[in-house]
Amino acid sequence: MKKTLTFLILIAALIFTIILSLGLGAMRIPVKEVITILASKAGLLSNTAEDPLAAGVILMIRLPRVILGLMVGAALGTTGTAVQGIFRNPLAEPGLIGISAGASMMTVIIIALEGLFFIQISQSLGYSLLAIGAFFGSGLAALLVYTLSKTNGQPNMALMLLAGIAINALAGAFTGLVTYLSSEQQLRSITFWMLGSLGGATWGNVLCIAPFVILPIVILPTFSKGLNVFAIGESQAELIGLNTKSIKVWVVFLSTMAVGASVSVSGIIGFVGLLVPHTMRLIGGVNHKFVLPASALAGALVLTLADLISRTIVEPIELPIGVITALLGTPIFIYIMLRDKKKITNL
Amino acid sequence: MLRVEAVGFKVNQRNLLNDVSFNIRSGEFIAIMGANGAGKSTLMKLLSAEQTPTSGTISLHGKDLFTYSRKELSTKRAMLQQQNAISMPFSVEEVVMMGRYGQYGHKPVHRDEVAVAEAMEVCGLTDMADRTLLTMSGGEQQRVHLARVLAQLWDQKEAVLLLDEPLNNMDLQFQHQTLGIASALAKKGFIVISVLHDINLAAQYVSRMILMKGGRKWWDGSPAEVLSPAHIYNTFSINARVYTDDHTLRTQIIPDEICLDAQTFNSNMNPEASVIIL
Repeated sequence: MKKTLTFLILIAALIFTIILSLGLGAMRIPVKEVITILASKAGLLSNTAEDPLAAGVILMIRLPRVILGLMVGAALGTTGTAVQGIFRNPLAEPGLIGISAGASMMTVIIIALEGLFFIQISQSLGYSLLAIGAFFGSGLAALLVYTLSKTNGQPNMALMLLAGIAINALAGAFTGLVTYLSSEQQLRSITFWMLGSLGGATWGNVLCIAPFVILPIVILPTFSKGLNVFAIGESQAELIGLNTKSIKVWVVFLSTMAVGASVSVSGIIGFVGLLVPHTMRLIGGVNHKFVLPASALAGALVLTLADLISRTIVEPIELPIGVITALLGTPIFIYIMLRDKKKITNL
Repeated sequence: MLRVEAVGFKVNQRNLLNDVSFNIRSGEFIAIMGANGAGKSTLMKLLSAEQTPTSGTISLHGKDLFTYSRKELSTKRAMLQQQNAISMPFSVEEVVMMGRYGQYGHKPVHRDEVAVAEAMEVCGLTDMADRTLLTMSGGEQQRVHLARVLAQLWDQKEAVLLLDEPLNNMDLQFQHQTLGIASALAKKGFIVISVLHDINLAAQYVSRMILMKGGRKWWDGSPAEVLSPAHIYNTFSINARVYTDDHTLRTQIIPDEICLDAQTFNSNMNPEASVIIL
């Protein structure tokens, strides 16, 4: 009951935020017109006399950005939950297995070397070189962590945690070195990327990452039972009849894919993967059958809202979204933490 | 029929189990006993197919235990492990339902719900169904895990129930309740094998005892056959008197107390300190 209500509230809030995000910005478009434009685009209304400029702003600029926010937010929420599940640790997040560090390293290298030999490739691929590099960087780091953590053909979660720390440190060192050698201008782009932004959203890159992000969001909830049993231990899961190796391999693979693709377009957006699953657990209990889809919805909501704030609060300047998620998330998180002290000390 | 033939288990050149053989028929309730490090838990891990023996064979109902699929095994044997820590605050009912996870797809069906409800009932957990494990005492948590393991095999016949020190932290009532449940399942046709430390309690319930020593089977038989002062001294290095209880006609033991002089191990301490410690 409480869970159904949570879903309904999240969906209602999400729809409200989407419409608000499409209407607000440098050019204000009333809610009624937003709905008319969307409906006529969807073929539900005919011969409407909408403002072509407003329609252009919504369909070409704001809609892809909102969709990117929804996808990235849902991906961060879902993968955060899943990774916390297999690590049996509510403080884990996808960054732990090197995904973000690998992506940052590649991005920083590409930004810093752009003036040199990357310029050729850059010109033919354009903006997407950064995305492709980040995606491969995250995949490579996660693969390395995964390979290092294998013992008797099985990934071991304790080893994976340690390997993750090592690879994070290594990637961090390279990132630091390249950053140190960068020019002023490059530093600005690096910082902006590191704090995350949905500003790069176009229909092109949104459609490009959509399968990589949406598939994990849909598939990960099918591992709910497995993630639940991980809470009482891997060997118990085997005795109960679940294949723990396949659970670990798929969760790591799908999380890497979703976060790698997200990071490649939006940069590193912290806090959502950690805050959202926690909040959902405090609201509706720890069963992954609830937490995974609820975190997807709540992640999408938080990120869309954060993006709306980041681009409207000090118009026309755009703040990095990572700043907003932390500023917005921390007070809510502390509020819930204080309210549920008792529950959390038992987490 | 569970058939264990010349089973050995070696880790890093160390023999944890050596040439262990026995047969167990359906309907038997067996206690595995022995000193710490005698190989009891290792044996249980092999019987549950969690580990593969380095030599010898184990077969269940005429088929090599290790050729059963993971899914088949989940309906043929369940095991309550010695360590049961939980990392997230799941409710009692959710944990007991985990026992059924290998047997249903996306959603539990009627028989899963019945199994969970009845397993909780028999373990005295019905009133605590919504409490989270992290707020419960050690003995209560142990009962939840017992209920989970029972739920796993609830609708099976001739399955194997393995209990590794099931009575850990349980109070007097539930120690007996647990062994009573185990004994009832054996009568129903299960093979029940339990590692137990309380010899007198075991002798009240089990039909057969396997005494382990140094990774080998030391003795195997009814409590009256196994519980002799000589066997007890050989496996536990403690003297005990053995008698038959007039009322229950069960074999029972009374170990001699061990008396130590604090001076023998407090030689480095000054006399005042050892008085305080004692």
